[in-house]
Amino acid sequence: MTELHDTDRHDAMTELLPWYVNDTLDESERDLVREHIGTCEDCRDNVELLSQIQRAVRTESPAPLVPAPRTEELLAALDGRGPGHVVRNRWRWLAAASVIAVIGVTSLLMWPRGDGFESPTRFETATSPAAIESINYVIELQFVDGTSAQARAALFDAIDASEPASPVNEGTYRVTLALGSLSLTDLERHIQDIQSRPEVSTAEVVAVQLPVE
Amino acid sequence: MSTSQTKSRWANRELEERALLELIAAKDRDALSDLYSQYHARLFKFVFRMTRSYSAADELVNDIMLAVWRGAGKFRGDSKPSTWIFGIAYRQALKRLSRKQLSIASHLDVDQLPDTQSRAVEQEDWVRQGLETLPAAQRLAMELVFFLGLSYEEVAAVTECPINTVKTRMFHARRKLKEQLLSSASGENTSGEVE
Repeated sequence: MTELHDTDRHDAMTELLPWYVNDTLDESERDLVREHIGTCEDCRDNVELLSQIQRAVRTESPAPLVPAPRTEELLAALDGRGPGHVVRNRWRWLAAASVIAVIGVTSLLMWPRGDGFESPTRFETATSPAAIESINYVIELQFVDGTSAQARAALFDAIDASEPASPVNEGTYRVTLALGSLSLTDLERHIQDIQSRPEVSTAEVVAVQLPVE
Repeated sequence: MSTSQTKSRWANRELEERALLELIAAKDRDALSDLYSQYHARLFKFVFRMTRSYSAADELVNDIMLAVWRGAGKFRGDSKPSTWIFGIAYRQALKRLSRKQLSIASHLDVDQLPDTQSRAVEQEDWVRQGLETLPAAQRLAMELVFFLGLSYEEVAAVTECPINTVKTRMFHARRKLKEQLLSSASGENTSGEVE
């Protein structure tokens, strides 16, 4: 590739830009692209555009509430006890959490301030008409003993949370979910859905973070 | 977590998934359950992005796992398990799109979404709008590269296309999005489909 003419080199490098941005090129290709964009303004612009596209694609989340896995139905389908498509209930994903008791809403009243949590006087976030989209919910998850790192990672992935580097206590992980202005009912459903996973023993909201005005 | 630790973790995950596929090929139901729990969320998000339909995505995930169950014996191990599984997902979703005549670009069953999500869907930025005007093959290539983070070899394997075709699709997709951005800035319309 080092003997290519300038135009050919530019074309070859341009084709690789998406994978330069998503960081899957091998080392030699990455070095060649990096060297090229150091001298090519057009390719630098394209890297900027592709980075913008990547951010939009990765942060856009039209389906933040992933339905719970329907393992039993899948296994039933293996035996021919279910239809090929297994189940057709489009709202099944919403109902999957109903086996778990409603969590204590009072846990929502914990509020992060200073070094610890302090209870606000009343709950006025998720149900407030003035609720703003950028509300974060801090959730603590306690995993069942023996849960593998892969299962934990899958759970964090399922709820769109970054995997914490370490637990806050033994077996307890604290994650922040940007769920927007959920109604209290939807928030409860979401927490119940998380808690219904077999690898999770408890899931509770310990804080609600409002945007600073 | 350091880069080497992350790489090691992913390497371990790949080994575990290969072992699970071998067990599934031998009709081990527990192995299928394990793989299902590991892939369910990722597959749902991916096929939802392709179909823009909650109900279709909900059905498709289990269809995909059934296909994994039936086809695990054909996994030759020359690609990552995730590439093979997402290849199945890609083809199943395309089949569904064709059968149901859903259009990736135009169909979004907002009525099936809870209100909070409907609002989120309505808040489209220009990139999202631009992506939805792309021909299906180009849009899907963008999803595979930027949503799943696949290399060009992996995209070629998933889509069963030559690498040069994958690169060409991405090139044209980017060019079209750039034209749209420029025309959006100047208030003009663009036209012309390039596959």
